[in-house]
Amino acid sequence: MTAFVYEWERYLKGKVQILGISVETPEEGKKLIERVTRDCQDDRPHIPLDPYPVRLLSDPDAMLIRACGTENEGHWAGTIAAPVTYIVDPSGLVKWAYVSDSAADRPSPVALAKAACAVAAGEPTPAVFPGK
Amino acid sequence: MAKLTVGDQFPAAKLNDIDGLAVNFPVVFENAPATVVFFYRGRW
Repeated sequence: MTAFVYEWERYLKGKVQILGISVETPEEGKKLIERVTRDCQDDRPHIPLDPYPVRLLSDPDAMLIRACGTENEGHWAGTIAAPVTYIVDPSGLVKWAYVSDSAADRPSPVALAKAACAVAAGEPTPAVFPGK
Repeated sequence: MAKLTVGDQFPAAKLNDIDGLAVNFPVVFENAPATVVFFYRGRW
């Protein structure tokens, strides 16, 4: 999530909204926001974070996670979400996807921000996943 | 492997954000010209 915060200015210019979804409770989500905000303020105080770039949603029963097929049922902590990222247009059509089985395998922050801004501008998105 | 992929319609669902505000899919996508949806594991 730190990557979204660090690319805040790019997302703001592109008018891109960012939604993060997990099975975590709202309380855990708030703690995550606090941690990321504190790190950002320490490391990159020039980023104002107003408006805050990320909205976290709680899916405690993994309803949407399963509807998207992004569930990981075999985790020791129970059902969790696999680390999958989508870019979706205003009609709800998926325009870009980055599918991974590992939390360490995430799209390049800059490439993701550029792809999202391209979708926002109605421009073509890369056919190849950045970093793959 | 995720079922949802490029060219698919995002499924309908209703969730709450961490402040308790309702978020309806896919209506929420109308709020911006593009939306990044990222799933994260949580339960660290």
